[in-house]
Amino acid sequence: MHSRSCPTDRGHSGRWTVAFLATLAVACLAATPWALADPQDKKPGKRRIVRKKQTFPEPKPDLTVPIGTPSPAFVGEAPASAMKLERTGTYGGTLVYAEQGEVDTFNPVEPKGATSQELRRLMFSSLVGYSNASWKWEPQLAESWSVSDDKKTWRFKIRQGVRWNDGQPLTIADVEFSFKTCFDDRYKSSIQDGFRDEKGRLPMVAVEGDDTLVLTTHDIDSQLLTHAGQVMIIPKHKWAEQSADGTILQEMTNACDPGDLVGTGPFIFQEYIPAQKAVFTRNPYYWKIDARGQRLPYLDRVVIVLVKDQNLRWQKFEAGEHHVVMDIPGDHYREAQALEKNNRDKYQLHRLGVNLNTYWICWNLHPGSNKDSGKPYVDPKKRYWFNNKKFRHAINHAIDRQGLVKSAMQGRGKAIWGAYNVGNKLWHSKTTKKYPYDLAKANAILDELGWRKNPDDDYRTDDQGNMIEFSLNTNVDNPIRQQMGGLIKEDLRKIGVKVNFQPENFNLLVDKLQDSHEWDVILLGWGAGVPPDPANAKNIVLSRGRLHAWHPQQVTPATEWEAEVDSLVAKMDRELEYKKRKEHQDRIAELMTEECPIMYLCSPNAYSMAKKSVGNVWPSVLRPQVTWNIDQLYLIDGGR
Amino acid sequence: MWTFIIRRLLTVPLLLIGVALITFLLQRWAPGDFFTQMEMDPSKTTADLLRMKADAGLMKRVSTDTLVELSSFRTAGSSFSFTEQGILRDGQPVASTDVRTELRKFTVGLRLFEMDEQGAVYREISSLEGFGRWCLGALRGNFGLSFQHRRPVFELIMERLWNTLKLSLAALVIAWGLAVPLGVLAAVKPGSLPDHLCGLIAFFGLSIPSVFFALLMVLFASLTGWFPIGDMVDVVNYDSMSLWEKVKNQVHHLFLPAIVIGTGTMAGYMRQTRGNMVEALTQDYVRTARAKGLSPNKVLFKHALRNAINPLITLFGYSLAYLLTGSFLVEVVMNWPGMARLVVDAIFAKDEPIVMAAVMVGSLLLVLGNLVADLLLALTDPRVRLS
Repeated sequence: MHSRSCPTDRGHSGRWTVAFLATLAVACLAATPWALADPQDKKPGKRRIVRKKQTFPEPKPDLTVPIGTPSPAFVGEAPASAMKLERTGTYGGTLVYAEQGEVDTFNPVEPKGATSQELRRLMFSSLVGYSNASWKWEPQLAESWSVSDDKKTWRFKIRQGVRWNDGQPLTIADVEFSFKTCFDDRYKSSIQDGFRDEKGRLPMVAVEGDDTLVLTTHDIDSQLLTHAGQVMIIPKHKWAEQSADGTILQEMTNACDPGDLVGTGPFIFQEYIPAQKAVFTRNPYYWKIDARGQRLPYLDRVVIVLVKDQNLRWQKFEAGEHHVVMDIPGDHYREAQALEKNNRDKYQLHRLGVNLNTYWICWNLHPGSNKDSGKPYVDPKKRYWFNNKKFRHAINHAIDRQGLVKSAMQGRGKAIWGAYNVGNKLWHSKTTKKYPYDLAKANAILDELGWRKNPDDDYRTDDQGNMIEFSLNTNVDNPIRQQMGGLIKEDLRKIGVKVNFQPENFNLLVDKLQDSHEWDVILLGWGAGVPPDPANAKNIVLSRGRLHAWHPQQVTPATEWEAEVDSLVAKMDRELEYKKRKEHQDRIAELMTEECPIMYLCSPNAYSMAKKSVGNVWPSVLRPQVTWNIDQLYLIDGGR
Repeated sequence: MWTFIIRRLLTVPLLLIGVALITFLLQRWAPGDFFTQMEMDPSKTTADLLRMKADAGLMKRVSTDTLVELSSFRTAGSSFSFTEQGILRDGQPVASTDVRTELRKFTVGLRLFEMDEQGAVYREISSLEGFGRWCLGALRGNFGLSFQHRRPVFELIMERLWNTLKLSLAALVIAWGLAVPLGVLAAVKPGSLPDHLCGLIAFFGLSIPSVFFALLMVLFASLTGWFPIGDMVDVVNYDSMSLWEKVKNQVHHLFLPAIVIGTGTMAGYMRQTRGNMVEALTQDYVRTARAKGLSPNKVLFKHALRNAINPLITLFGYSLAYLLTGSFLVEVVMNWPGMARLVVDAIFAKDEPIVMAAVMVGSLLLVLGNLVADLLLALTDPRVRLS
């Protein structure tokens, strides 16, 4: 495009060019001092401030807080059986925060992505709800519940006098209708699957009197409350016809009429604009009251802004546009810290401790071969090393987990040893075996095996003369894992083990894990659900599980210890008492970390942040970190 | 000219089918699908995954009748066959829950079958079969439901099309509105200060990646507070504004992203204008016109510019083709609720129906843009004959 007619830029105009470029460069640099500063470039000798663990007490009621006027106003009186919460707050205001995802559908019968699931909690209620702060199931539409002596019959007593947000009364028939729709064969969903037992049977639904729903399971189900908590109660008067003729899944999509979303949640759906926002207003019939007998929720409106880009989400919060920001990634921590430091009266950063998500590496212990070529999935010489427990222990000792946290997470994380780190208050096990970073010990174990270092290049060869070398894969789109892979390679170099680190496409990795089985070692991570119960991880620990990564979908348990884990999981499924379940879980943790087919490495810290003008904030490491109790949040002075 | 248009339009269906086939196969041949991400979620059951794949048309639920017709097959060291009553393993009847691991995935002939925990069997739909189904649907105007949103894809695209157009048209106006005058200004006296300044602007616009420029602009907005940080309107207060305020608010939000996209395209057009003008100004007819004593403005705009503008008209036609796709990255960075976020997400997530529909719309626009460019050229330049 620069055609021949362009004369050379010498002479007087050359100075202009230089001056302009210099100005531009200075402007860019001045505008991005922190964007360019790499947090890793810190001087090694700099002392890190060790912060005392931040705790978040339950918000206390304060009777001096002004009451304010709700707009829209409440309708009628609170039901006699209203749920009373020990909170106080001021009516009014609009809470604004961002969500990263999109709304797939509002339909509560068939839940989709995380954002959709979070939004439907604003509009619908279930019988029981999980409290992110107390880590317990709490009553919601069910005033109370009980379980029979044989632990198979569950009775839920429904709150009386509750009204739908269209003014109709909620009855036991609605509750029965919701469960029957959920169990309908035509509406198969993950919620329905959850209720199914080993033999694929669903619980029986019955009604006793005019206020009790009875669920009878065929086997004892330790997770019944979790599954019941997933069933959103929907109005029979609105959907009876659609449920009967099989079309209810086509209703309540993200393009539906707001009037269709009749629920008993704290808010009413007002408007959804794709890729922009979802707006909710107060449900004037909500059935919770506060310490002064005032009805909840305090907020007039909630605006959820749909922001895809993490940077932009942070910028918008920093500019004061949003009240709350959750799941702050580690690389925004310094900005968050600075914002808090410069505006102590305005912002509070919640250091929520260690996140429940984990990073791990896993060995391929699959004994099979490719059906077509007859080639073993794992090279026999590698299989010989991988199946040697002592070798795995040596590697475990050789990985510097603190180093991984320091370098790949800028120190904002924690070394972990088992599937449930200390952040998991309920399921972290003391029986988890630890393998502290100890090169001497790692070397000693390998020497003892007779796998000696080659004096030429310092790499080890095993007792059969094969050099110890394997490949490590992770997904290419995850920078933290990529960095960790590089560090592990360096760590293992120190004990004479050669690692070929190859990041790959995520889908390719999943294909390798589940179908081709042709891999050596993989570095990946698990996310945690709510509630963070081991029952969610059955796919990983059961030998027949799809994500039993080191040897998935075994027909019968391949080893004794895997058989023991299977039987322990079965026992946990049939046990309601936490203490006994924990005992079994402790044993599983012990077995898993003794055998270490999968080696847990580290977890990042979790952070959220809110303006101090948001009242009753009670953050939790469980998601959604701040807005889980949105029916109790209120704005002080209009949320400035 | 009409035969030209008709001939051009007749090639469109062939072209679209070709593009569709390539897009479809590229998506299918790359590893994984929309549901791969979910397969790594421990809380997702196989039953749920297979059901979702069947809903999406990636797999098909197989009825008992079809299963019974299958010949017996060997997998996991045993021979299996299906009967009306259930499954036989080595001739012995077994419950489906007892063999769910052995029969999790099995092949009969070349067909891949998968069974879930509850004994439901699905078969894989091959790429060509899938493409055939897509074509049949498309012929009937049915482009399928998005895997993620479970809604017709054109409904989703239409929701956002106008937003993208708003941004692209504003950028187009900025680009052309600045490119032609600046290009002419630069060409009048090559080597002068205005020429160099224009060259610098062009240099800047051509060399800065739009994503980085967009990020800088977000930063600028956040540091100065003069402009909103992303979005198309004030998300919280927009609904309560008067009409005039709404217009002002929209323009305020439109400014930065339009500048970002506009500068990039403007730079190229400006250099093109300048080059053409410089060349035109050295032509004999310009010297003749000057010698005739015509005013410099008349020479410039009536004689030189008219001749210099032809290649630009072709460029203008092409720029129509990029109306929908040119702003993709900037839309993502600046949270513009246009098609980009939908389509970029869909590409990464492999939400095939959306990608297919978006590629079809994009290709169609490219073809039409070219056609418009050719027609415009014929209209303005009497030397061009279309036949």
